[in-house]
Amino acid sequence: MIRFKVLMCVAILIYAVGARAESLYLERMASARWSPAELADTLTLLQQHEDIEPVSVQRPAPFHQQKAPQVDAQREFCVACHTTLPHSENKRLRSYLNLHVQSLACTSCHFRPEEVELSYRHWPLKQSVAADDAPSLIAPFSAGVVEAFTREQPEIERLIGDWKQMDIQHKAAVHLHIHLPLDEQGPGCGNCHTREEPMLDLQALEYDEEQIRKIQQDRVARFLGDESLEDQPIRLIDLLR
Amino acid sequence: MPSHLEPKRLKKGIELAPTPTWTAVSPIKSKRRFRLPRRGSVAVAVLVVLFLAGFHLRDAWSAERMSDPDGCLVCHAVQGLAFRDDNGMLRNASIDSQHYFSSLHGNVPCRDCHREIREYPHQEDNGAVDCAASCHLEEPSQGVAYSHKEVAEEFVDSVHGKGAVDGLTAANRWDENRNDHPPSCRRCHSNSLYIPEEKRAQFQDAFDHEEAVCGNCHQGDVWQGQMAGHILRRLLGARWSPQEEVAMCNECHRDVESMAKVERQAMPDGGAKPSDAHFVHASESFDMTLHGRLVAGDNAFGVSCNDCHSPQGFRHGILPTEDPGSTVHPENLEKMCGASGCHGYVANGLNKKFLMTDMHDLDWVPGQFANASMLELMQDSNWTRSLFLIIPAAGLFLVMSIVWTIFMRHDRGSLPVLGGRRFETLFLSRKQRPKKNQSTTDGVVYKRLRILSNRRKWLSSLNGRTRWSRRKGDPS
Repeated sequence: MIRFKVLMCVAILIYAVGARAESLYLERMASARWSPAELADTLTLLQQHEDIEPVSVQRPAPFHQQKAPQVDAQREFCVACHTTLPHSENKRLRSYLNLHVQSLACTSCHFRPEEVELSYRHWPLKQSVAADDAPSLIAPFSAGVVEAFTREQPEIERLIGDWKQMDIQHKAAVHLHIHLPLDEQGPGCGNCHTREEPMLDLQALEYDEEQIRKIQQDRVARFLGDESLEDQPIRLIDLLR
Repeated sequence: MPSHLEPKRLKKGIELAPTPTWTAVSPIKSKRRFRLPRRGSVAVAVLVVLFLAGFHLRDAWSAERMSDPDGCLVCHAVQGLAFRDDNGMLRNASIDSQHYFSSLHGNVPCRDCHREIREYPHQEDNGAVDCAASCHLEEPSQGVAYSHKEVAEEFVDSVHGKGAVDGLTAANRWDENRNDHPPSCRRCHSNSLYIPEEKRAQFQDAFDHEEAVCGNCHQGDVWQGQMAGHILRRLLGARWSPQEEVAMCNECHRDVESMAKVERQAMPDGGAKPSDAHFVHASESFDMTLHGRLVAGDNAFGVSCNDCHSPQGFRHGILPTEDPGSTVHPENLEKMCGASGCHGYVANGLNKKFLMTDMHDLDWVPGQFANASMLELMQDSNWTRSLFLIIPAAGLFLVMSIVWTIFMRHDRGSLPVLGGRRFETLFLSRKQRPKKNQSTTDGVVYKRLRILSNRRKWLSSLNGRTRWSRRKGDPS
């Protein structure tokens, strides 16, 4: 029975997003199979999970005026659960990884099937707005179909709404369907912040030369991405040299 | 003019001094169209160009002025550098660098305050800020390292002194996120703009004045660039309007539930004492005074909390009312209220009672006193105090009324012997009552009169020579 419900959910997803054309991610979602150990891990994860309500501290206000993060990414499907600040475990990298939520769809880093060549293009999050002003993220495309969803699609909204009423077995199955095609670990800093065969073709993504130089030769990313320095703190003076 | 045509000045045939000859006053134009410029003018032109270039370069250099020698803004100026901590609190590390460079601390390097940070990832406690520490800036007038130490000392000795001055980190904002927490420096102060947007016109006006008037004596870049800016900032920017000050105090003091939990400092032993209704509703009762109403009406004559509670020094030294050093201590009220521009007339001995006005009178507050007991409110009321006079007076009146009713009741009514009857007849148009009743009601006086007349009759009957007896024809 549970299996049937889950399949229905996934079918809804496929219908919602993939009806126009075949999305590779949706295909993999539908065909996901898991071992009893993976199911047990997921059940434990869900049981131990505690929702932390976002808190805003009004007083005392932050001493320095801050720049608020851009919130275009709020339209993305994954953000419904993971929020716009999804990375919190790795103290060294979390803030830097969260920077990328402003410009990259989650699947750009976390959906990387080995045998398929993906192209990365701007993915408008809102169709109704004029093309120049439309909020967009860089997302992976396979055979011209985007491998990401917005949460504003009615069926996805329904799935997110149903999530709270699901029993834990049901939740675990949906969780596995969604997450098994994804990699927990994204690509390292050096995959993009490099001049030698970067993962993203920034020129095709219409970045200007100055922006490309800043991204590819980013000093901080080079330090953070250096695995030999992973365990030792970075001295600020070294960063400036 | 040719010399042979020159007229002779003759007087009586004798030749006198020749008349002055005409000479040209404008230079004769050279036929050469092009002349090389003189060396002097070339030098002047070069100097002018260099001078203008100097201006340009100076602007360019000053625009590049950066107070980020440690390179912190390489990361912290980037938008979106944030995470959510275990409490669910958004920890945003992106600093608006434009705002920072235009702020009060715009030329203070980050590590002057965040001293222990040398490496990444930062340890949370390493970023702790001590507001009383001195920084590498020089205070322009004396050339010593600038510090908020004196303000901090005044603050620590005040009623708010339990609030933190040091150890301030981004993480412990969470702990301070409650109104029952003592106020730290950052509770009221943030790194605001050096010239606030709303005061820009005022500054502009003052700077014009500075060039035209102060500039007569105080000339040069050092004065105009450093001192004038610094002094104007102290005069204009650092002064909070009464409205701003009251709003700041109300951030906490308006919250009656939190104020009810405050443990106040008892004098003279310095122990703790619970807050009373007078303290809890201080903000509301202030609103009802003329001081508060002028503030609420956006009037420049409005009087803020600090104008009475901490008018001197750095305006942080608010002391308990019972402290002899407090400006609102009864002994000091004359000096404080009578300060120039305020109520100078209290110096006159006849006006001393003015100082007894309660500026936080609960009787004026129309609010709901959910947190104050009735007894407490009554104790604090001037109505209650006035009862100490009214009750004995009323009691005396009552007793005397009873005494009068019991012992002197028969004496009531007007006294005809004093003209009372005549008054009633003529002015009040009352009919005269029958004599019988009068005799019974008019009491003792009538009795005495009757006795008198009876005595006369008796006397006349004795000697038979009274006028009365003669006129009537006494048979004897």
